[in-house]
Amino acid sequence: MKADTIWNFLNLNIYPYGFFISIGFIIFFIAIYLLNKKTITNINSYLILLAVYLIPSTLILSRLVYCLCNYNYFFIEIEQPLMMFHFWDGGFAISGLFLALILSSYLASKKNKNYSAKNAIINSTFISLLLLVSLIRIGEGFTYVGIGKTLETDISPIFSFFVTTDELGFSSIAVNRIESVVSLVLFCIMVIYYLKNIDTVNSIKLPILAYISLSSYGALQLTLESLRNDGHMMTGFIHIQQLISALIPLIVIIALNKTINNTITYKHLKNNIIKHSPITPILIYILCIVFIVVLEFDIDGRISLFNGIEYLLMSAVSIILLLIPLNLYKKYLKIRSFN
Amino acid sequence: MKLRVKIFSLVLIATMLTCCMFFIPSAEITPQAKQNYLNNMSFSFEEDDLEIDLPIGFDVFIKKAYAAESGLFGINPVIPIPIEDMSGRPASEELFTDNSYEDNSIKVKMEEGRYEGSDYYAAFIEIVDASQLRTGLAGNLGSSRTIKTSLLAPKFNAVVAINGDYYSQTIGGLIVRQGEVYRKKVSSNIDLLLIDSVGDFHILTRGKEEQTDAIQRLYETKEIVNGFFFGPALVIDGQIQTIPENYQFDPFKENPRAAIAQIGPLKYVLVVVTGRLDNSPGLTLPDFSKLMKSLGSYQAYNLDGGNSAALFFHDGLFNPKSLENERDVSDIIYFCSAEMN
Repeated sequence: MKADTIWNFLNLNIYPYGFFISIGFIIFFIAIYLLNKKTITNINSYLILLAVYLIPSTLILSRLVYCLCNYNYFFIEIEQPLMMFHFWDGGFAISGLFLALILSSYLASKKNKNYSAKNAIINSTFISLLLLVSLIRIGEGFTYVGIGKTLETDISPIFSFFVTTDELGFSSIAVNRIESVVSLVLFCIMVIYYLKNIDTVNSIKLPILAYISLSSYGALQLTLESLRNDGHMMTGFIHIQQLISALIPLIVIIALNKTINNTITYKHLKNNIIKHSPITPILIYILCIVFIVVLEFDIDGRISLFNGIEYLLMSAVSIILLLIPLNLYKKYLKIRSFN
Repeated sequence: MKLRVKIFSLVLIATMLTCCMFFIPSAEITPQAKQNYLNNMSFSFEEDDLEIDLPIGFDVFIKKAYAAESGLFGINPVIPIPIEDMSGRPASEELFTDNSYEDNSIKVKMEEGRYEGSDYYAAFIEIVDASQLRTGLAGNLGSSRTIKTSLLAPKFNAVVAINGDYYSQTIGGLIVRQGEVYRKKVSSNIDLLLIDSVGDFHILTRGKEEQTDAIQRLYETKEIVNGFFFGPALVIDGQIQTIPENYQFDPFKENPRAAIAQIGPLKYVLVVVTGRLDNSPGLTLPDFSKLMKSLGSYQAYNLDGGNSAALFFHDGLFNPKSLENERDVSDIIYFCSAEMN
């Protein structure tokens, strides 16, 4: 198993993981700036405020989430709860970054009373988040986090980039690289869509692309977290990050349902312009989650239903979870077009 | 935003970003930090008491006596495998049959049977030197990495292997692997198994004070090579043990089971019971104790059962389990040849 890498620069130890977090933040702020420089006049003020709130709150909340999930380790296994404050020894949960960004972007954008400008800022912030996550995942490659399950069969050389080998000679999935590429691809898709539909998107009363970015990330991460074999953020056999990833699409579905319900009028229903049942997307979501739980039991070998295609099925379920909010968004646009 | 505030904010941001590079090593606590935490733990037994104070040659004398008792002791002396070696020595492929292996250093006989309505698979092992009883890990000591027993065992040149105690999922116990101590804790409700440098088993039943005293006494005369934290003890000094009502891991439900036992000096048995099938529901721990005793166990210790239970022999699992059904585990116990090929 590989050890954490340390770079030496002028006799100073630099952690590649920390380096990529720093670079990630810089590129993140640059991306928000570039997406808004033509439309928002006070974007610099927002970015400075965002950075001042976001960076420390990310560290605090990421550490907090990590410590909460590893409570047993600090209090029972090593019996040294004060080590929770030794953040320089490592231990951060990426879900803390999401919480920090939600809080920080809300606080930093409060001054903007114009909801169109506010939406533009929030949309571009959460789209750029995907780029930040992509860079952080690259940083994970320099630590022993991000290693996935052992490959039991040879795979095509095309995918060799996503494979890593340890000193025992086992080939494992380099999950961090897959996550990095997935985040980057999502970022590109969201940016292209945003730039093509900037007026439509920013005129919607809620930051729709922020929601879609988060729910897409959560839906895909549901499968990717299951591939991990690094023990990070695990309680027993449960991947905590997988649970958190599962919640994100649900929150977005509920928010979009509420928005549609608030927009839909008697006119739409009477003229049969739109049919919307808020229960249906939630039922589909629940079925997807139940199916993923069954797949996890199958992967663990407790049941034997799917014989080797579990991850293929899990990926399909992730795609369905990704499509539910997109479908709701499409429905919402249809309602608006008739208003 | 005023210029002064802007400049101050930018300097603050630059400082925070720079600090990230020097103070954030990883998303997970680094292995070095974890080891430091363990080293800093206040142990319930004094470290000084862990000094071994044997007369010179005492350990070697016992080993030679055991080896002489073994029917395997051939003409050529066996060179022990260094404790720090990553794996055992390769076995000779031509000496394997479907259910046995024998060379001048190790003899393995595999058996299948049925007990109380469930199938069991046993490996009877005789070795010449205690260094042939080893543990293998899926990652570095302390890592949460897991790999299937059937994939891990060949990497260590195992002739026969069984899953270990899945130590990475536990938070207590005296965990020792190939002489390296990972965790030094005693337990009020979990039994410990310690294996010393001459291959003898020492099962310490639950109770913090009892285990502390026993460990201190043990370390006065023995070198502990491997330590496990799962249990319960099934057989101690030839006596079937009463399984406590509140012991972890479903003791009174029929489940797949795994255990390791010592039958005599340098003689062992590994047993796996198939479970959760219509024709083999598994065994309760009381029944499992009786099975282990009937197989000749003098000291028998329960290991991680359920889906982890896996008995490896030669080039695959001896108990019938597909690769899809096999669980990834953090560690294995294996026996290897000591022949210099």
